[in-house]
Amino acid sequence: MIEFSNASYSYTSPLGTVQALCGVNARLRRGEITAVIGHTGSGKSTFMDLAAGLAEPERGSVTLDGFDTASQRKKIGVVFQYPEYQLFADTVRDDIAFGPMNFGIKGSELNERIKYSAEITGLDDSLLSRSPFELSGGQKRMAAAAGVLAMKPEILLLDEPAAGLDPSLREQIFSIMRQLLDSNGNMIIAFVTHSMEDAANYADRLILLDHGCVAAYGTPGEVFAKRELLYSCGLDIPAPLKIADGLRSLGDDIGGAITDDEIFLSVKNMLSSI
Amino acid sequence: MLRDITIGRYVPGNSALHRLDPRTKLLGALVYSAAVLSCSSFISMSAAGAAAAAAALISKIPVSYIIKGLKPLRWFILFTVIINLFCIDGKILWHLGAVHITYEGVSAAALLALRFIFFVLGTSLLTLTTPPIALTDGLARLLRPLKAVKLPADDIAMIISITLRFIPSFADEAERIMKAQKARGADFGSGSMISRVRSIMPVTIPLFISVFRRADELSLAMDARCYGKGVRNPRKKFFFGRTDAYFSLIMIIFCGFLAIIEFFN
Repeated sequence: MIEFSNASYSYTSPLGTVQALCGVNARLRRGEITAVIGHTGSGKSTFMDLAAGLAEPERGSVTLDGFDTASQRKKIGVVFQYPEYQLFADTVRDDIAFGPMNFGIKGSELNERIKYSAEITGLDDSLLSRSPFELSGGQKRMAAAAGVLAMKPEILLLDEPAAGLDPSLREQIFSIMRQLLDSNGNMIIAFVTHSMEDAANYADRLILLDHGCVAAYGTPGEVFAKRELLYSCGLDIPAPLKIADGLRSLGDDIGGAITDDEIFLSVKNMLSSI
Repeated sequence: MLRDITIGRYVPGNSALHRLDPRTKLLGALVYSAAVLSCSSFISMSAAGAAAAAAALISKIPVSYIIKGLKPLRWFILFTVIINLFCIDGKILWHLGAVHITYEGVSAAALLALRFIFFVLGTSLLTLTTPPIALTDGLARLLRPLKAVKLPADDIAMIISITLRFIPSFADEAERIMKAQKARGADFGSGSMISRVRSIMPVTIPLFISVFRRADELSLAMDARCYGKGVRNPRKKFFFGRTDAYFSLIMIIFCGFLAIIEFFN
């Protein structure tokens, strides 16, 4: 479990000191996918940096199983925003191998890891020997993600993993996360998103940040029930919930559907009962 | 870190320094740089320092932010200071075998360090208080007489201001890429010289690609707005007002003062 206890962080900008996080208490649990949501500038990216151990809190602590995350970086894989901009090697294979090799993995173990991560991200064998710069935008994103997965991280943090992707790749990214969790229930997975639908459809738990503080924490059902809070944080509710609200105002109460599947079932039941 | 670089960054504000005509500021920064580079005594250098401090205070930009901008230069300054400290002959203050530090060496090293610091402060204050577009227009206006000798003044001004404008952007980008590669276990700044150079490759290649991508996007954006398809007129008319007159007067007095100090030295 990654635990934030009273963690604060600030940085200097031309207009003075910005308090990015102020006394955050939060948990990222094993075996769960957590989504971090919040308005632009609410501290989501700083939250991820601290969780990844790439920055240390000024006050309070961020720990992984009791140790500071900064000392646990080997266990933590981070997929940054637009990770395709970090590709550099001659071939996709070499780029994927960069991370594991930095941690001293060689030979058959290395080959096995490249194969594993290429398979899970759906990268074709023929793509591996190509230059990463010849790939399409979506393939680049997958190649960069494969480079992180090849390190077999226990903890996987993703910053806006689906930004700018088409719907099918979007779906694929999130199903990879679920697949990883299914094969290793010990993993901690967390992603930052601006899309309330992605948070509703793919996360087990939500952390809502507002002005560097945790405004809400809970399952998607619990957090999205607080409509007023979301609006006051400059966010919205997921589309299915809006449909449910709309139907209720017309006199058809179908309950609080949040995911795409739930609203589909609710509407289907409603129509069949007419 | 890299993102502390302040050269080329603009901080919006409404101080007297912000309101100055860009031409006045450009000439002021030029004169100030020349003055700082020709200071040869501690008295004139402290006068130059006082001028920089006064300008920084007037700009109302947080002093900590301006000072942070000097941080990336510390190794460069330290290096030149050390070279000067040990390589100038004169009255020996301290020695250990063949290595010696002289009185002249200490003062030359200190002067050089101050010269760098004030020079960078002066130029950063120019970009910190002037929006890039105003800087371009001011430069173009100042270079206009050179059009008589077929010098593409507008283009030169555009090139200079784009260069300045992109220094902080690429510093940010470099830092982002470094962070990403660090998360993949890359280790910068340890090991032998060769392994250090090799370790920087995962940063330089994506950075260069990003430079070309941005250049491409920028040229497209400029084309889309018909850059170079006619005469460019600045959106704002230049106005040489009272503040500018005061500022020029202060600069002239400052230069005269420095000249007198230097003369009697």
